Amino acid sequence: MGMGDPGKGLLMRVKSTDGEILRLVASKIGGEVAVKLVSELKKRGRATEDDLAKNTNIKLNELRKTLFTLQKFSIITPEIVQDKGSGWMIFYWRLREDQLESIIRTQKRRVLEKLRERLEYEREHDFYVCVNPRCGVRYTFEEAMERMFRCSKCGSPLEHYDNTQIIAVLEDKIAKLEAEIKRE
Amino acid sequence: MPSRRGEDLEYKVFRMIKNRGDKGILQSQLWKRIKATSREGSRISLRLERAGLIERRRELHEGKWTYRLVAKKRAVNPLSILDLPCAFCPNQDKCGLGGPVSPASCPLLAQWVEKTAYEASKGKVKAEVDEELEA
Repeated sequence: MGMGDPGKGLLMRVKSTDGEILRLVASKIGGEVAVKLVSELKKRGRATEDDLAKNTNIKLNELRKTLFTLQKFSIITPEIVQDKGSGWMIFYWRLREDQLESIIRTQKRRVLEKLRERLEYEREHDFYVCVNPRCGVRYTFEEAMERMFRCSKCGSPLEHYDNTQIIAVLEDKIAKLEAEIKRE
Repeated sequence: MPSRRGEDLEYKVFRMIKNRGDKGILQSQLWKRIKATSREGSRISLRLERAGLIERRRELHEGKWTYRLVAKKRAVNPLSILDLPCAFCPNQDKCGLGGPVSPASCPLLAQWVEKTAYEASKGKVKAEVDEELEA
């Protein structure tokens, strides 16, 4: 089955260099702000929050929020260094570019796990959908029964929903990811 | 036992081969790039092959026999997951069947699944029409 792979088009547009991959990952995590921060950290090796704010013109609260999200996924790590002159502790952020591959591998495994769970849910349930095309809310059989086969949002009747295509999409993506994880 | 410098070089060579993907790289070209002699190069490639990291395929190039080096493992590419809402999702740790956030009830995942299913069915219909037109 020839499922469309949205990643493929992107692959053709970008060169898969480490820098590009880092930019794509940062953009997914925190949009343009994260891309700016990661590029700045890549340039400087490590930097304090003040330095980052000065050089990127990002508001401090937004900057901190994005830095913590990047830290959550281990893209950056904090580094505390004692200043030799003043004895003060200086808090730096450092990019963990060497960890990028393993971070992506972990994400692939987690995404795979979520897709498997969704597939299990799709396989185990019978679905009903609101006939109103502007509404289109989907219910499980049990939920539809409780609502007497009427949409609780717009009151339209519900009809049986064939999720074969959804199952096929999930199976296809899972198979592709499994193969990729094995190869990498 | 290879020195630390030798290990670094091996790693560098492996990364270069890995980044070439399925195409691999000719042994002779690789040594020119890293400025190594063919003797040094052959040793490195043999070590990588013995470690199970690469494959050496014999190939005739410009009238001379050489090897094409292809990595058994491919470079990690995130593109296959970046369009999925679950990748780098802030709720990842809380997400699970029966949990407060679940792959079964996640609206973002539902949207992705429905959109992809719709695109796939559109692609399938188009392929069928093309086949009919060709016939």
